Amino acid sequence: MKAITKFYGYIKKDTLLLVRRKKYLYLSIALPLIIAFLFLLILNPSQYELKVGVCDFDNTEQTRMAFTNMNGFEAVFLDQENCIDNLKEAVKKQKYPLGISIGKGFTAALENLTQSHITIYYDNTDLAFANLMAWKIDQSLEPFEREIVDKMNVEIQDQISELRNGIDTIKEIPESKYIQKRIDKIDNSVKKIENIKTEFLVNPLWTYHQPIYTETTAKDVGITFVLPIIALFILLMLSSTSIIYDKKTNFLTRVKSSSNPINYILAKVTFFIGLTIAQFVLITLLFLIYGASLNISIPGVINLILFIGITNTLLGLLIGLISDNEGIAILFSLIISFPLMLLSGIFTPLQTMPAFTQTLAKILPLSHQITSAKLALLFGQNIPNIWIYPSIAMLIGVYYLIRKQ
Amino acid sequence: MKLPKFLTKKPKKKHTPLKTQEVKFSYGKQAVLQDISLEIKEASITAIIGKSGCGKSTFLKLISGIISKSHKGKIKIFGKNKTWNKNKLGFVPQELSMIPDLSIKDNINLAGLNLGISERTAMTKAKELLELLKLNEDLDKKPDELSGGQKVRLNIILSLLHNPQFLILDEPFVGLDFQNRKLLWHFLESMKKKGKAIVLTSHLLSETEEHVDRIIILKNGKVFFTGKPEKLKEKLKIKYIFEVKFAYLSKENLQQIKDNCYIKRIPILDHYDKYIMFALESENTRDQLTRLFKKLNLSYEELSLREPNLDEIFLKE
Repeated sequence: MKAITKFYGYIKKDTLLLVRRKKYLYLSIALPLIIAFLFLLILNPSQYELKVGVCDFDNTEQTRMAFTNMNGFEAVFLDQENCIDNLKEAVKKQKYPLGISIGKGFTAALENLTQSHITIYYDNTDLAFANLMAWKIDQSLEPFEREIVDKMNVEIQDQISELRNGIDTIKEIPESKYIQKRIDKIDNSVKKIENIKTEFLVNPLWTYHQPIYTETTAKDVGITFVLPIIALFILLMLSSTSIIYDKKTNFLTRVKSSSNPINYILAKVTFFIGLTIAQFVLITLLFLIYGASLNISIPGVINLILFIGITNTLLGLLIGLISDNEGIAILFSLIISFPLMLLSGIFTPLQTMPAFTQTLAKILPLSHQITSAKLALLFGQNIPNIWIYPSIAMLIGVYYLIRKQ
Repeated sequence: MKLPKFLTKKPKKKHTPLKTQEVKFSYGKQAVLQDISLEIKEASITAIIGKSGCGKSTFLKLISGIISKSHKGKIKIFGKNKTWNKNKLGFVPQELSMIPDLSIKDNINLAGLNLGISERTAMTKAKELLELLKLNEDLDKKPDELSGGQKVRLNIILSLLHNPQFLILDEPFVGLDFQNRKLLWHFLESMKKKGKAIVLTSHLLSETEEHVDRIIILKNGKVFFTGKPEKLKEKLKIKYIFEVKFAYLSKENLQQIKDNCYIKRIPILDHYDKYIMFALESENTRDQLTRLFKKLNLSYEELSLREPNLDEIFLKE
């Protein structure tokens, strides 16, 4: 009986603590809700229709029909002059997430029962979308391919029937000039059937996947995702818990009694920028050793490290200042990191998400950090300085909260 | 006690260390401080006394800039806004402010840097203070390896490295044994002799009375009393403490004594078992009480009449 009473007491203690410490309660409800909601958005994409730029060099009724009726895609046919260059540029600028090039002779090849080809141009630095695109295009062309196979079947039936007729005729009229003509025709039909290749039977329409950044491999792209994500987790956790440690050990009290807290904040930010530099060097070295080839812009990298270091540290400090202890701070860090990661485009393509989620993803810092990392590490460009404004707002917030406590 | 040289340096300009005018402060709707107008002079020790929650720690934190929430009224440190004169101020928090994962040496270096002093200078100054406050420990030890009294002394040392002219100590005697309290008082008095202004909060009223120049009593966020300790006794009209230990004291007897004292306005400061402590305005009151005991047929084992100390006055309040 005593054991049960004690057991009940322990459960009651934890229940009371959960209810009384409201932040734990709210976070333990909010965290699963937010993550579940985001997963729902991601796993059940909206009725999206991706715009596809098409260079139709064959320009036949069949190609127009086939690519206009692609399921889940809206084809925009481009002018044929400099079409490929224009198409690649449009994909790079994200005007179209995909580009399709249909070569001359596409329809004729199909009519001759030979495999036709199309080339798909895609942004290979967008890993999640690139993976999805590979099967999505093939899937959407399936009805067209089925139609081709049906036609081929009819054609084969016609040819065989022609062959049968010929053979029957030969049997009826053994000696005639007409025989030679019939034999030639039969010969052609047989040749046609003979020339049907397995590849056509298996896959009458072959799609070539052509990355628009030909020099960039998945290995190179990886760093642009890994660096911001690792920095986000580490900086949020470390900076939030470090300020809680300073509160607990009363170091913050000493700071406030002896100087303006701005020095303290700037020192914290500088320290964590140092940590970001160390992370950057280690991760970059690892990728380079592994064979990644990067086109690094030095001003871009400096700007990127400042962007990642400053925004994440300030966000972490804000978390630390509103949290009572390390546990709450880590929960807060997770509640922020998970949605940022889910909406960063690394696991699921942003293009297939509802418009609201796409807009949300665009304004979140991690998506910007990933885009900036691509610019600075893959394309050798500097990054836009737009991150400075939210950082100033966060700095003011941290200063205000330190003074208030 | 001979202070280290760096603690004897005086500022060129002379200003009142602390002047507050009608300071009001509240947490939300709860008023914590109301109309606090005070002046702390240099070369003085002032004790702020009050029960828990009366606002004394809040007041110290407000004047030292640890609480930055907006308040009403003026706070001037050496004639300037508190934000601009933090380098003249030394704050010793009630809670130990040391980093437990770092050594004493590292803590000293960091405290020095926080006060704008190089590590080398901080260490030189700290060593002098460590010797003075009899803290001859291995500096590579961690703060947790020190005793309670040693931690308190180290906590104070960390706030003195920049030679503050105005030292604020929040409950510095908590957890200190008699020897350590004596040592600390001695040290604070030496600081006072060198012109420093010292403000502290304490619950050890009887001990405070002997060492401070001025007492400020806070009651419900207001200044209840300010002045010399002797004045407080005068104000409260308690001249003597009369303690009686009865041979036997029933509940009825106690109630009869209480009723009589209530009518004659004789405060009972404390009672337990067969013991009662009365606050007397004059020796005549003692005679009134002895007559009462006789009337109630109460015999006593011990009687004593003595001057009160601040603890007893505080108890009454």
